[in-house]
Amino acid sequence: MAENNRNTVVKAIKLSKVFGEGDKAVKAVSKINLEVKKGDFVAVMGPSGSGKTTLLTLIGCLDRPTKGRLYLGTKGTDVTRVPENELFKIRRNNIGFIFQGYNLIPSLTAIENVELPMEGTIKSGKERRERARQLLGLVEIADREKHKPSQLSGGEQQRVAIARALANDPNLILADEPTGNLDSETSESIINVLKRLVTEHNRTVILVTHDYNMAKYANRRITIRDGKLETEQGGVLEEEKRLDAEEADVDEGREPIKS
Amino acid sequence: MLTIKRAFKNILRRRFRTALVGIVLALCVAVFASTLASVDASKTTTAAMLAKYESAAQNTINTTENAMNSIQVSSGGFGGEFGFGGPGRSGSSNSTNSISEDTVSAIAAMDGVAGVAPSLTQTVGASTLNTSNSGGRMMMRFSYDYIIDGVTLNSSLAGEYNSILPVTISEGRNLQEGDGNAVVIGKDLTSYFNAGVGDQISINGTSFTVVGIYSSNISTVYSGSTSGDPAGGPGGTGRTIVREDKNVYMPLSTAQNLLGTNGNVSELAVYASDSSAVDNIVATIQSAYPDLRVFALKDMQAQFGGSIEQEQSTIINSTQGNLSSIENLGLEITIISAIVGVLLIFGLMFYTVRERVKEIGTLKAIGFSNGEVMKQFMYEGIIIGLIGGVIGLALAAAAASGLSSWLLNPSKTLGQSVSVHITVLSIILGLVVAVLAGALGSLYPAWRASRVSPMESLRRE
Repeated sequence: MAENNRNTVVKAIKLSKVFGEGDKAVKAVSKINLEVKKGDFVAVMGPSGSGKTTLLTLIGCLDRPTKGRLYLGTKGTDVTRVPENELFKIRRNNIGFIFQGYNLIPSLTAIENVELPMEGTIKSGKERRERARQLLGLVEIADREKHKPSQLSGGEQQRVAIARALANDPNLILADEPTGNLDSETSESIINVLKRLVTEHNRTVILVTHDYNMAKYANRRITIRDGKLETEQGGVLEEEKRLDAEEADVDEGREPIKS
Repeated sequence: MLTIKRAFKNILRRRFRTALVGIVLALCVAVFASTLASVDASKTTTAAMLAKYESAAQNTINTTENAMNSIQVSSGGFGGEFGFGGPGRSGSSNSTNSISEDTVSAIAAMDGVAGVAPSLTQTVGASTLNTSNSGGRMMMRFSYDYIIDGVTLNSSLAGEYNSILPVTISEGRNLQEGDGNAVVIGKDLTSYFNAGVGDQISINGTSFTVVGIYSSNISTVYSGSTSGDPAGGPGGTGRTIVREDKNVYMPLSTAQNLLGTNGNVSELAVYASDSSAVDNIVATIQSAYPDLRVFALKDMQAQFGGSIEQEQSTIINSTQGNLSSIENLGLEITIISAIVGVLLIFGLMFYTVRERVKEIGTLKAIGFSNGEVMKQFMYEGIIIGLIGGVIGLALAAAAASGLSSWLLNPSKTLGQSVSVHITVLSIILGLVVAVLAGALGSLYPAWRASRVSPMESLRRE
């Protein structure tokens, strides 16, 4: 059990998100239990509006859950208890976010974009530059470091964005439809970069996609419908049973077991 | 440093908009800085004018005090022989020349009289009374070509009571005992007669030699006015005192011959041996010659002297008031340009933040704190302010002298040039104001930026 927990990167217990109030309330995410281990490549699938992106924003600490618990990192920090003005540190240190629209800062070059998240963590500019260069090499775009986003193709921009997501060596990488704006050939190369992060560099990736061709690269595939976890392929049934037991703990107001 | 570098890059991203705001901002700073320079210059100018006027006013007071024991006797009519702001003792344009030689002799023989100085005054040319309301104050002006003023040249009297003669000779010499067809003319008459010292002028067919030109210290005082003709006429908007130098002084006998008065004179200065005898003399003359107007100068002093001083202090106060209103104007312009600067940067930054919501959300999503985001946008505002400030000061330095001399026209009012330049103080102030405007203007937009939710990074566009 302890060993298992040390490898747990995400543990969500009865995670819920409700938008609006009263009659107009919409349950975007409803009582989702999920545990993701180090080295997992999880594809979250589902039709649009199913709540898969909302789940990602909760796990990525971009938004706060209405109910439930969320433990992040191998230390199992309960992020639902981290005050709002401290949450940026979780995002900066533990999470790398990859967007469908790449979201690079247009005024900065490729390498400057990769350096950006390190400003708060690495003091030496030289060190930041060196690390950013390494990461650009890792995503095979080192030759484009001086280019502005507008001078890069979609695939190239997404590679830069992946390098940026890796900047602070996060234990969790979240990707929201990262191939949504790309043609199938480029999509495949991008998904292969993510896959390699998992297989060769022992990273953890949660990928939200509605494209099965992308989801098939993952070793776990989760489907969400109407905010609820529907099926899991490649998951472990026993795991879910264990989570159900913890769910009972939360219901009774007891602290879930941490590492 | 990184944040500043990024702020620069972001500013350069929207060159057109930044340039537009920068130019308007620069104009604000330029107006501000050159106003400071102008205020500075006008302070110098006004102070110089004030000093000049104060010394002239002091001179008048001295002259007046000098004649404490003198009595003015004139032949009926309005005897405005003495009056500050009027055309001196020649103000009586309608006096008749009815004081005979016998009367003069009789008065000279009275008890306590040390001497008499008869004089003969006649105004030549149209004599129109102009009444106008100038700057909320009634102005009276006599319009005439010139005044013939025959004066007593008894050297002992003229030496003791210099008010008999024009006292401020600006060119040539004063009249003296023994002069015949010699005249001293006012500086305002040099162009009328087209004559200078040593030239001949002709009056009623008689030829005279100009031996001197006099100029009273007070010619024209303009306060707060920007233009005007020094020879007369209320120019500009300020209060105006006009004392025209349009007298033709000549020996009394020459004037009597010229005007054919058969030895009569129009007025008489009677000098008492002692100021305590003045009242007695006035009463004696008045009872002997009830038709004559008799005034002790000390009584006039009491009557008018106060108003002279009042007048002087009014002018000094109003000049100082103008000075402080110029300073206030400068302050107002400064405040207005600062407000415009703040609003301009506010508008720009507010718009920028709204436009870059997704980018801000992304910064938050990848781990930027609220403070870091706020700092970034504050820097952008401050840098724009600084750029505008630097350009504005450069503009102001180039334009200040031209602008200010146009505004003040110092050489015309003061007769000396006043240098107008941007001071180190206004450079520092200009930059400080520009930076403060940048900080103040971007404060709220930057705060708004810092509150943007990281969820905005997922916004589909």
